[in-house]
Amino acid sequence: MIADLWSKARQSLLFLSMVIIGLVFAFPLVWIAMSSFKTRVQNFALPPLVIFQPTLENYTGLFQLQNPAFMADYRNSFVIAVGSTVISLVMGCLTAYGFSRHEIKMGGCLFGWILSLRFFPVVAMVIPIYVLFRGLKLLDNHAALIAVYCIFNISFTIWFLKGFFDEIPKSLEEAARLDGYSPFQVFYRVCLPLVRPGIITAAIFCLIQSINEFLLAMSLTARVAETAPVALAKLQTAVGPDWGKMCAVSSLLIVPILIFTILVRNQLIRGMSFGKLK
Amino acid sequence: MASIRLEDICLEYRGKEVCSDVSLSVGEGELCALVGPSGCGKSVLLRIITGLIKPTSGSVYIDDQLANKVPPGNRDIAMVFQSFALYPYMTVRENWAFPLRASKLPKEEIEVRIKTVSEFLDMDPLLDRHPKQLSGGQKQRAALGRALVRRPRLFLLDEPLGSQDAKKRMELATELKKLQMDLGITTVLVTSDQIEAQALGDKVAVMDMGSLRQVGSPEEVYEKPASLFVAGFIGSPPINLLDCALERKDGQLYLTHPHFHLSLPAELAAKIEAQAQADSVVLGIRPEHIRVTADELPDSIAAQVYVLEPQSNEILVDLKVGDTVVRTRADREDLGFQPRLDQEVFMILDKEFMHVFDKATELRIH
Amino acid sequence: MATIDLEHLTLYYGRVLAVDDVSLCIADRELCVLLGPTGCGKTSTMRMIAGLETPSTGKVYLDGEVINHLYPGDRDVAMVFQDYALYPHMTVKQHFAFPLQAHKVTKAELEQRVGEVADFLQLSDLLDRYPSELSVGQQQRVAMGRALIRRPKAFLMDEPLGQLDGRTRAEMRASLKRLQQELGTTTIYVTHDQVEAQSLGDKIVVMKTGLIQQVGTPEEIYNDPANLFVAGFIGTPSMNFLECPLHVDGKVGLKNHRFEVALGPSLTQKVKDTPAERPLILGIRPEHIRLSPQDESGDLPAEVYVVESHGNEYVVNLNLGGDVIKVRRDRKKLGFRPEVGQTVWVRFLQDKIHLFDKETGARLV
Repeated sequence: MIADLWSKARQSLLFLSMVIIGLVFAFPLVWIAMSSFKTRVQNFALPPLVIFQPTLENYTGLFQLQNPAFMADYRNSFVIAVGSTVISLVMGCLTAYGFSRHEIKMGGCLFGWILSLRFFPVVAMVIPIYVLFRGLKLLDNHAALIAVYCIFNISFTIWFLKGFFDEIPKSLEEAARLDGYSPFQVFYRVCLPLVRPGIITAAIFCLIQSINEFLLAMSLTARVAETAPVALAKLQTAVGPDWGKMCAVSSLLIVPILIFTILVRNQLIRGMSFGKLK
Repeated sequence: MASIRLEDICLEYRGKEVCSDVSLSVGEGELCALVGPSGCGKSVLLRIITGLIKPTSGSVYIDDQLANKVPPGNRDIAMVFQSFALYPYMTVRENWAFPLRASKLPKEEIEVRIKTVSEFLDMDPLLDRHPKQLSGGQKQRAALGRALVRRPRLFLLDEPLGSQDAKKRMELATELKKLQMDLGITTVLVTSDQIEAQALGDKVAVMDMGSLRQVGSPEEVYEKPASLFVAGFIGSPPINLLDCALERKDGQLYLTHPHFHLSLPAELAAKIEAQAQADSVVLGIRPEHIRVTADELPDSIAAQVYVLEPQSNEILVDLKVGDTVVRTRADREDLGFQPRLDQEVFMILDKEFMHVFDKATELRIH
Repeated sequence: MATIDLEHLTLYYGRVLAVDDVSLCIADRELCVLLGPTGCGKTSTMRMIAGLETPSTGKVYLDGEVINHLYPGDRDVAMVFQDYALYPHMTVKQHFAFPLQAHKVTKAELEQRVGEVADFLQLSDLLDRYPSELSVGQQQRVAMGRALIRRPKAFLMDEPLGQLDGRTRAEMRASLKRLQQELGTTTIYVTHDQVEAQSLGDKIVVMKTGLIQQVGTPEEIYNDPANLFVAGFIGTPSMNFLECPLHVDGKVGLKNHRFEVALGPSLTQKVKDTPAERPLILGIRPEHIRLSPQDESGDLPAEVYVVESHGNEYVVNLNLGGDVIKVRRDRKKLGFRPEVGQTVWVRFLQDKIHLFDKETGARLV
């Protein structure tokens, strides 16, 4: 009896701690969202306002921005992020599979080098790339920015997905080959479904990295391909940052990622619940 | 050297009865093999003896003294685990010294004991190796050595041969038995392999779903199984179990089955009639007690050869009788002829070795 | 018709020779077992037949045609893997459909064949389950079904029963044997378990370190082992080996400093060309030794060391002047219960004695 009560108490305590931790993590996001509905004055209130009259003036103000229009920036962010992510996933899967399944001469070094690109300080890259793109007339160009983002996205996906491919026992592929499938079909029908959780996780990471990227976006774009983080930076007015509009931009950037994650979470869990591959 | 006595041990866990009313005694110097399918509660019972698990009710007596309240470390028991549980970052010598340092023995005494056990187990050249440099058999000796240096009163072994392949297992089993006999330490061995249990145990205790089904010598458990479960569990190839009905006709008792009609000799009939509570029985007959002949003989049953499996000097012939498959086993030379697949043959059941079980209670009638 | 012929196959893994000049003929409808300890080259040989490894030299023939150049998928052989190799993301039904989909079978036929195989293996109720939801025995049947559904020319099985517990294994063995005989498909079966090999094989190929040691029926391998390795590998408990040089002293016998065994007339005849004092090893199987509690002429004394009960038999371990030998005998036929420490009298059945040359390991008699 006592043992039962004690275990129930322990479980409730655990649950409570998880809820508290969850709230702590969610708090900044919630605060940002709330702040986007407050007026300038309300944002400066001390103590901070929790209950207030919400207003849409920040959002309407955003859409009035011109040169470039905010919606254009917003759209650019996503086009570039999605474009870079898709390319990185395709290239990443194929390359990671290659690294996983084949003995490549100096493969270890090659792999290490690819990984190092991920950690390369962007600050050191910016000026050389700017000069290069200017010469190639690739400034302020969507495709060019997508390509640059692929530098760190592809290196991430290759490194991340190789581990997943390593987990697949060779005998699964051999069985499929014996059944009559070509190597590519084996890759596509047997291996890819099994690394699904990896692909989805990598996708989420790449999207977030690309959307957040500021330095390269600011340096390499002007009007046509400008992205949202740059727009965010431009919200610094003479009298200080426009907190309300900044929070509005942030909220608008978070929302699609949130929706994507919620949509794919079933796929993620389904992939993980296939059970041990052994 | 100590004797063990378990009286009415019960263990309940999360509403389930893991052990129910288990009473068992193991004499001094005896090796008791506790055997049963996985999940039957045998490992749990072992841990109750060590004191790592406390029973919900019942008493554990070690050397006739109540041990329920004695903590595991003070019971003077050594346990050998299936995975050997050797400390991978210590040499064999250090592995052996470790438990002795816990009992605060003087350094010289530890040295002496290690030396004695090492000579006994023939481990002298291996003392300074690490576990991963040892073969399976050597690891087993190292694990045993660690238990032996403690000079315990009792040895408890939890599936000690589980991780070996079949051939190695047989060799190690014999060595283990010899060791136990030479040392004379009371031992309880847990295994799910009934072949191992029969080979090693002076006494075999068969367990299923938390209760003891039968306790006896290996010969007893094999030749006189107390219930359907024990009959089916002990013995490989497994016993043939056929549902029959008892029929009385013209003063004779018959066992009837859709495909045969066997008359029972008088004394056997009397015994069965006295004990049978209903007319539904299960006939048990071991493969070696069925004779296969090419010609029809009195009391023989028609059958068809279904599978032939040669095995060393014997041949296992599976026969199909209607829809049932009956396994038989015979020395090639005793068989007398070479059976062919799908051949029509006859089988004779040796009435001296028939087992009859009551179908409802599953207990042995004869 | 599906005969398989291997001609001088060798395989190197880097510098290590895994398969050394293996040549073998497997007849149509035969179940051929490749038997040997781990690392003997049996799995590598089978993988070369499947096309998953390329032989360093040598040819593989299926039905008289060379198939070295064919991709695994084009060889019309189906393999059952040791770890079953089930796809975690596919249901049982999809597993059965998968091999057929590679060969463009019509939907109607696919449904029909899937249904057939599922019924046969008693998996009809489990068609929508995933491998993680199946027991080990069920997983094994799915692996078999995936091979069966293709109706290939040959089956290649790599220790398919290895993961099952003793009971289930014995049942599956009998079912497997019956299945293979009913289907009549040529099968190559790899195992390290000699009990399985004897039960299943029409022909057994015993291998060690890449070389074939002996090819024969189970009876041949058991009764006439070609060398020490085969003799010791087949049979449980293993054959007893005793070192004794040949000794001629009026009568021909084997004598070492511990005991002496006289050879009967037929054996004497067979060793007449062997020089005296030649180091030999006497091999005698535990089931071919007779024990008695009394001294009968010509018997050797031995001390009982351990008595093991195995079903209806006793395996008695004896100390014969320093050597340990095992004797296996039905309890009733033995007639008495040996006690530890008791002296019993041992007699080897003359016509079951094997003599091996100590240096080469080859069998002389």
